[in-house]
This record gives sequence, C-alpha cells and structure tokens, in this order.
Amino acid sequence: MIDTVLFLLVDGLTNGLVYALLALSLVLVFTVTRVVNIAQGEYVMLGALTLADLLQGRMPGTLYLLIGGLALCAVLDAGRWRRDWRRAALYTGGLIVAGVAALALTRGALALHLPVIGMMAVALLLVAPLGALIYRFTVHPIPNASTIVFVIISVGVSMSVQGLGLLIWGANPYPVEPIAAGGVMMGPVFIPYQSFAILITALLAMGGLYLFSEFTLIGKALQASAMNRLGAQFCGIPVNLTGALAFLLAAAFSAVSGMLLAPLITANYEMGFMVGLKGFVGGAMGGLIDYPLSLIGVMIVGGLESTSAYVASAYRDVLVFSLLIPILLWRNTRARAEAR
Amino acid sequence: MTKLLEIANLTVGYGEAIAIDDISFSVARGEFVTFIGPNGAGKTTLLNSLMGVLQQRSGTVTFAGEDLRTLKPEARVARGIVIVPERRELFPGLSVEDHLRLGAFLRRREGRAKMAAALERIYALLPKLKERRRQLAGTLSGGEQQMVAVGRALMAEPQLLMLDEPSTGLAPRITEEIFEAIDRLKAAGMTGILVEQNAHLALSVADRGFVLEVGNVVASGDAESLRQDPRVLAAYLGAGDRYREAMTDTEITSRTEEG
Amino acid sequence: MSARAMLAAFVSAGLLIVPWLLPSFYVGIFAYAGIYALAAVGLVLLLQAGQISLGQGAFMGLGAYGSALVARAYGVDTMVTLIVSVCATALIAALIGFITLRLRGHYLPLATLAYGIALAAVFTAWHEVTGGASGLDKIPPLRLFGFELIDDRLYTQLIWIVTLLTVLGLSRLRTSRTGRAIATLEAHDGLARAFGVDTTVLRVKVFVFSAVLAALGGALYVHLLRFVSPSPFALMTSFKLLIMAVLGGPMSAAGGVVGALAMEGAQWTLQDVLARWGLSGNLEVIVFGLILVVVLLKWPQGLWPAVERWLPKPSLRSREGSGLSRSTLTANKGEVLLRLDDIGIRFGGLQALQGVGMELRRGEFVGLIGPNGAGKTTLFSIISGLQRQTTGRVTLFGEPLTADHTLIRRGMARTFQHVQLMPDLSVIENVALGAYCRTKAGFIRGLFALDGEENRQALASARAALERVGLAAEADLAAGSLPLGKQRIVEIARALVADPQILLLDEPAAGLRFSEKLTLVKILRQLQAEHVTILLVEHDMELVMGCVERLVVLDRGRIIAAGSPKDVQADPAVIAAYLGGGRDKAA
Repeated sequence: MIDTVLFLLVDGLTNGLVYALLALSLVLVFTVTRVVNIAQGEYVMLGALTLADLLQGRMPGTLYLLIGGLALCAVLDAGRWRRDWRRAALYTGGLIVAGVAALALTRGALALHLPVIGMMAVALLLVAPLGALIYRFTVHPIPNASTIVFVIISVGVSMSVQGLGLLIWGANPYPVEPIAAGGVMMGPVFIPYQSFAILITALLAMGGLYLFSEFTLIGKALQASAMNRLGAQFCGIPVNLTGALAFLLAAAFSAVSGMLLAPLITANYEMGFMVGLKGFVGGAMGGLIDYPLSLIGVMIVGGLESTSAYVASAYRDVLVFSLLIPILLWRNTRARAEAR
Repeated sequence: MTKLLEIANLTVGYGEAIAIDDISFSVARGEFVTFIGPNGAGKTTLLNSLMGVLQQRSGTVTFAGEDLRTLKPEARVARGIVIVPERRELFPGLSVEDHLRLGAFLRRREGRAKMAAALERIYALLPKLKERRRQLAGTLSGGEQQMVAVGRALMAEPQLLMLDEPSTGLAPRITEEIFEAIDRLKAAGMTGILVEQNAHLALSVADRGFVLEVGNVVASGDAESLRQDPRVLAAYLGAGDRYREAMTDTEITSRTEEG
Repeated sequence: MSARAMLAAFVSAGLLIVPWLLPSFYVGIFAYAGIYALAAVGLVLLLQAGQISLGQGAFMGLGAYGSALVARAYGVDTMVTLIVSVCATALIAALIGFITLRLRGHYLPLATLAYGIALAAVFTAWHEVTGGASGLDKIPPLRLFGFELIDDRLYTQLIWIVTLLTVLGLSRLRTSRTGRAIATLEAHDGLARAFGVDTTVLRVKVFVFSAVLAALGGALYVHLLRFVSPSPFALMTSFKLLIMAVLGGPMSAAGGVVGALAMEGAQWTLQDVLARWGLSGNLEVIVFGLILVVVLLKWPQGLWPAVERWLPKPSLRSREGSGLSRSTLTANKGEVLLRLDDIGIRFGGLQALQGVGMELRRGEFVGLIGPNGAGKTTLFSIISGLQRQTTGRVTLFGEPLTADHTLIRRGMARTFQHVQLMPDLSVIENVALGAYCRTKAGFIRGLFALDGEENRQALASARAALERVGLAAEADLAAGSLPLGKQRIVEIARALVADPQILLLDEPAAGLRFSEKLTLVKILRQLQAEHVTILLVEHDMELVMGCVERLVVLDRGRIIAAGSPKDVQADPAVIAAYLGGGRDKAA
C-alpha cells in the first residue's frame, strides 16, 4: 500500500511540475498583457517536436517558422523606414542577423551531435522568439481590444500553429529521448532518472524566473507593467516591449515543459492542447494572477491524473473541473473585497 | 531666459467632451509655474496630454525645440518630461527602493555608482523613504506613497517635473513636508509645472500662476499678484453670472405635454 | 413592409430553398450550419448582455443526450422528448447561471470553461447510460403523432425555419422593454439598477435562454444524425460557437447567422479549393486560423456591422399617439421629500462622511458642492442607494431607503457623471429605458411581439420627453453619435420618462461648451417651473450659482455651509475650503 502511495506521489509530482511550467506561462502572459492565451499549449508541441527533430538529426521545421516570422515582422514594420531610416535599418538588420544566427545555430548543433541537454537549449532558442513574434502580430496591433477578442484571436493562433505542426511533422507520433535513461530504486519505489531531470529543470526554470523578476531591473519592470501599466509608462518602461518579453518567456517555459513531457508520452502535433488545458486549470485556480495558488492547482491536477491511472476513474475530468468553480467563486469574492 | 516648453492653442478632450480649450503658455528653464482652479477645470487633463496619455486634438506642444505630437509617454520620459501623477500610480507589490530604481529605468546603463548616488540624493531629500526602503508600496500611508511618487519621478532626472495635485488627501503636516521638498528642488533650479486645487499653497512655491476655469485660462500673472487677484476667488466660487443673465432674456416656456 | 423587412424575407426564403438546390452531401453541412447558427444566436444574446460562455457545447450535449436517451428508452414521440429535454436543460442552466453569473472579469469565462468541460466529460464517463466515447446509435428520427421526419432536405428546412424565427424574435426583443434592459447589462450595473432593472434575475434569464437555444440545436442535431457521441459537444464546439458569435458580430442576432455561415462556408470552401489545388493535408486549418486572426484584427466588432452598413435602415416601431400618463406635480412647497439624518460612512480608516444632515423639499432646486475629496460622490451614491452608510438614516417620502433598483418606482430618477447611454442604440430607444419601471412586458412578450401597445406607449412617452428637452429631431440617431452636450440632455430625458418627483443630477455640465451649458440651464429651469424637485452636484460654480435656489457645501466629509448662493459665496469657511489654507496655517 505504502509503495503505491509513494509511487503515485512521485508520478503526480512529476506530472504536476510539467504542468506548473505551463501554468506559470499563462499567469505571466495574463498579468502583463491581460491576454487569456488559449494558444499557450502550442509552444509545448513546438518545443517537443523541435527537440525530436534535432535529436534525430533533421533540420527542425520550427526554424522555417522563425525565419518566416522574422520576415513578416520586417514587412509589417516597413513603415519605420519613412519615419527614421537609421533606426529602421538597425531594426531590419537585427531581424536578418537573428534569422542567420538561428540557421547557423541549428546547423552547428546538428553537425556537433550535441547531447540531449544541448539540443534542448537549441530548441528553446528556436521556439521562444516565436512567442514574441506572435505578440507582435496579434496583440501589438490592437492593444485596447476586449478580452474576448483576444481569446478568439488566440484560438485562431492555436488552430494555425497546430495546423502548421501537422503540415511540418505529420500526424505520426515522435519518440523523444529522455535526458537520462534508466532509473534508480529508492526504497521500494523505482524512480526514473527523467523524473529527477524534470524536477531539476522545473526548479531551475522557476528559480530562474524568480531570480530574474526579483534581482534584475528588467524583471522588476516586467512586474511593474503587470501591476500598473500606466505607472510603468510613467517610468519610461516601454510596455509593448515588456508585453513581448512576457510572451517570449512564456513560450520558453512552455517549450521546456513540452521537452520534458515528450519522453513520458509521445510527441505529436496535437499534444499541446490537452497539456495547455491542464496548465489552464492550475492557472485558473490562481485566478490567472497568483503564482503559488496556480502551483498548488497544477499539483492537484498532476496528482489526480496519476491516481486515476491507478484507480481508473472515468470521472477525473468531471471532478477536476467541477472543483474549479467553487475556487473561482472564492477568488472572485476575494478580488472584489480587495478592490473595495 | 530660454523657453523649455512652449504650448500654442492646445485643445484636448475626451471623446466629444472638450476639457482643455485653446490654451497657450510657455515655461522657461528654471521656472516653476502653477495651474490652479477648482476640480473639473481641466488641470489633470492638461498634464495627461503633456505626458502623452491623452491625444491632443489641435495646437502644438514644443519641448526643447521638438514637436511632441506623436511621442508616446515612455518617449516623453526619455526626453525628460516626468510626472508625479494625481493617483500616484505606484506598484503595490514592489518595495520603495524598487520604485526608485524603476524611476531610473531609462538610465539603467549609466552604471551602479551613478544609481547609488542618485538614490542617496533622493534619500537626502525625502529621508522618510530611506527608513521605508524595503517596505512594499501597497503598505505605505498616503503621504509616504506621495513621497515615493515624487522620488520615483526625480530618479529619471527630469528636465521638466510635473506634479499633479500633490496635496490631495494628505494631512497638512505631510503636505508641508512635500512642499518643502518642492521648495528645495526649485531652489536647485528644477523646472516644473504644479497643478493644485489649493491655490494659496500652490502660489506659495510657484513663480507664475495660471487660473483655469472649465478648460480656459481666466487669469495669469506672477504668484504675488495672483494672490490678491479677485478673479482667483471668482474662478473657484463662480462669481460670473452669464447663466443668470441668460435666463432673464429667455422666456421660460412651460411646454404642455399630452396626457 | 420596409425595404429591410423585404430584404430579410427574401434572404430567408433563399435560405429555405437552399436545401433543395444543394447536392445531397452538402445538405447535411447546411443543416449543421443552421444548428450552429441557432446556438450561436443564443450566444450573441449572451454577449450582448456582457456575458460570455465557453460551455455552450455542453448545453447542446445536454439537449441532445436528454432527448436521445428518453426517446430510445421509452419510445416516446421525439417531438415530446425534445421539449422535455430542452426544459430540463433550462433548469440546469438556471442553477449554473445563478451560481456563476456573479463572477466578474476573467473569472466568468474561466468558470464557463470549467463547467463546459465537466459536463462534457460526464457524457464520456457515464458509460452505462450514454454509451461512453463510442456513443449510442438507433436513435429515433424526429416524430410527432406517428409522422416521421426522415427526409434530410425537409429536416434542414425545419432547422432553418427554427433558426430564422429565433433571429426574428430576438430582433424584436432588441427593441422591446426587456431588450433595452439587456443592452444595459454590458455596462456597469449602476445604470440598469437605477432604472429599475433587477440585473441578477435578468442575467439568469438571458443565460437560460441562450442555453435553451443551444439545447434545442443539440436535440435537432441528434435526431438528424440519429447517433449520439460525446465528441460533437466537447470544448471545441464551444469554441466554435464563440468564434461564430464574435466573428459574425455580437451586435445583432443576425451576426450569429452570418458568423455560422461564414465559418462553415469558409471551412468547406477552403477544404474544397485547397484539395482542388492538390494542397490537401489540413492546410485549411492553418489558413482558417490566419483568416480568423486577420478578420478580427481588421474588424474587432465582427462582420455584421460591416455588412449592415450597406443595408437599408430597419423600420421603426410605432411611437404615435399618447404616452404613459404623467403625474401632475403640485407647487406645494414645504413637504420634505428626501431627508438625511446624521449620515456617516467609513472606508477602512478614513471617515469619508460625518454627521451629514440635509433636507430636500418639494419643488426645490438644491445644489451640492464642495472641493475635491469633500465626499459629494459618496453622498450621492448613498442617496441613490448604491452605497450603504455606516451611521445615520436616509428617508425618502417618509420611508426608509430601499434597494437601489426600487428607488425609481418610488419617484427618484438620476443621471450619471460619466454619460451612460447605449451608444449603438437610437436616442429614442435609450430614452425609452426610462419607462422600464412603468411598463410590464417581459422576455416572452418581447420575443413574440405581444407587447405592441405597451411598447408604443413607452416610445410615445420617450418621444414626448425628447420634445420636452428639444431633441425630437435627433430621436433616431445612434446615441453615441451625438455630441456630449446632447448626450447629457438625452440622459435627462430618459430620467423624465420615469415620471420622477425627484431628479438627481450628477455633474450634468462636465465637459460641455458654454452654449451647451446654456441649453442645459434652460431645461433645468423649465423642469423647476414644472415643480420637479432637483438635487444638482456640479463643479461649474458659475452655473450652479446661476440656477439653484439653495446650496449645501461639503468639505472633508462635513457640511460646512448651507444657504443661498450669495451667502455661500461670501462665507469665509467656504472660501478657505476652496482656496486652501495656504502654508502659514499648515506649518
């Protein structure tokens, strides 16, 4: 009995940590930009499949997405040339350098046959900028649109990216190597090394975000934009750039989440949506604004998921999502009390 | 004296509403001017439009020779136009010192030594902030929050400091502390625009004053002469009687309506 | 028949003929489009009321499973099971709505997402009854008194008849008493409640109605397909419906139909065209996603407003004849209508008001003034029932103050500091909201156009009020298109339609030009001559001094002076409060 409980605990914790990264992304994006990003899960898919490609020695399709996005950015910002050609030249130059650098990085990584952890870093560098690009294309043009318009736009983004995933990678699942194969017996429970890898990576990522937010001025500026947009503008903080930064960081976290998750399940073009939804439940428990509560939320989701694998309860989703409603009611009354 | 800020025929509004109607004035370097008037006169609107939060409808705003029309708030901060907003606009979850550092966000590449020196200058001017440096802004009293807002603005090393109703909601003793700090800034040569409802307080620090009444400047002059000017009281308490007169010429028709 | 109605009839007839012209493969698609349109139209109504739902797919599922399971198990005529199932869904929706509709901001969509997924998950999980993920077959077709509807084309026609009738009903509702109230729900509750709308009940009604339409769509779907499984009612369907509603444009019920046709049409056309170019392989999802993003970036209001600009204007509902009766106000001054005793209120540590006492007598014109932060707004909120005082008593017509949405029935109407009009509705519709508390027709009567006489009276009263304030010529313009000065006067007209004895005016001159203020003063004077009792909060002192009889001056939460304008202007305490004490005193 105790073995089973321990096993479930480890398994639940592992799942929960993966979803935690996603919940963090959602909260980060929402607090800074007020966008409820339905498309957040797609970066999970992009991260996983990019890693799969790199590990199997193929040029990842993500690279072309990135280069295409940079090109589109150059086209959309063509107006800059009329206003200030020097800065426009610098800007366009930067975009070209970024594209070339991404290409060189990928080729280099493939030639060197980097270990899994190295390939993860490369995949991260390819996926994260897509977040900033999507911010530029979909949020930046209509900063004052309503919540619902952004929800629908993010659904559109989700559909397109998922479609692109299908176009690039096809419907077949891809196996992804774990960072370390095998595992260790700890007392009565067998723990795969990947679980440790997930624990370490997730803690590093969360710790990194914490250190970045607390100990760098840019991190503080990001917090400031989340707390008071007007106040941030009055400090000279360019709120459009902090918005793009939030999207970029969120994409990075989600991509890492996907790369850690892929060896446990198999990676395919539609994996993002379900993972995204689970991250959402956690994020929603924190009302999309509270990091610690969101973490507790995803741990509950992870725990329920691993328990149900054992008890095989068909009502798992019913339970998880019904539980969410009283929590939201409680958050809502608290938020209104605070507003008063 | 060189003109730092020149405003010609500025009109600002919210949607259809006109809040500032065709105002012209200028501020010389090293000068402190004040806009006084009752609430609803358009004082805050004026500062918000100079800050770029509100679009100007017509007229020109020239700062150090540059037309500001298309600049966003953050670009104006980069030019040295900094505001202490009426509602303070602090970040409740960040500490006092974080606010001050963020105030110098655009000067972040100047190095640690300069940042430390700038912080010390602010702490010397507003000693209470030093005591509270680690405290979160959301837990401060109203007066301390106002000091944070002033300190944060000063960290940007403004060319033009705009203060919006710094005395609102504060006890007289706290107000006095803040105005003493303004006195010292002025003595150090700061250029500023002070918007205040409290006319006597505002005229006690400013060099020149403008009296705003529902979007229009109804009186202006040096602070001393304005203090005696009956038009100031008239602006606040409505001495004019255009409405009363208008009514006597107009016959009141009691239109009948169907049952 | 107006040009608009002719066009609508023509298009509807076209849509009803379509099933007979299409190849049989496309008939099914067209039928599904009609079902989605029905559910999307319900969602449009929900969006108009400022709500959002990511759970409509689940309500479709409830309607579908309910009807299918009962019909399959008991062999009852499916027309009956369909109605039973829709009613049951309505009950469930009422319960869910009652619980979740108090949520605000982004909590509401998250909650709808939660119950949407939870309900949909039940369809899969309750294997013994629903057949789980593989579903149930052998579901009887639509049947009534032994007549079975099995012809797909006839069935499709039926679906579209239901959908088009719903659109017609909702368009009627939009210009009815309840429709006007629904339109106010999107804004802050204060407006609706000030005009006597019980917002909680109305929100639940709207929510239930939208769930009913979804359930009806679901039931029609299941008897068409004659097979039921969880996947058509999963989260993706809820998203799809929301996309249809937002893409079509939530301004009008027709937007739901436009959205559904645009979305289904775009999907199938893309699939067709891309396949013809040899570009199959799910490229259409990518292109569709991109189109969706681009369309919303270009038209955040949706497609319908872009279409509607080219259509003839809709015909207007009758407003001729006499309006609602108006009470005659006596000139009997002296009777105390509103009385404040020792009002105090604390916010946290701040004593915002203390010991405030004043009276408003019949026919009086009183001004309430004070510098920034004096507590005028707070006092105004207490008088209009939006806020509760900590100490003291408010007495209206000799009785204690009741809940905010009942005050207008007792004879106290108000205007708002920030103009609260429904900008897309015409001026006269906005003004007619004032008659809400004096008329009765509810949701159903509005929907089925059984409110003709009453609605005519309300509109006639609105027209009369507009004539009274000199805005008769602007009656049919969109309220949002008027200059601010006129919008403020529209607010006064709206309050007048409620036939108030007391009129509360919250900064009616803010943002107006001099000429507009002059018009305002003339109207106020005229109302005073008609013995309306007026309490005015205003910053423009010249205006206040020029029209009120008596002034009450607040400073730092207390009354510091009261009396005629001349006396108040000369009062040293008032001068000190306004100009400030200066620093000598402060130090």
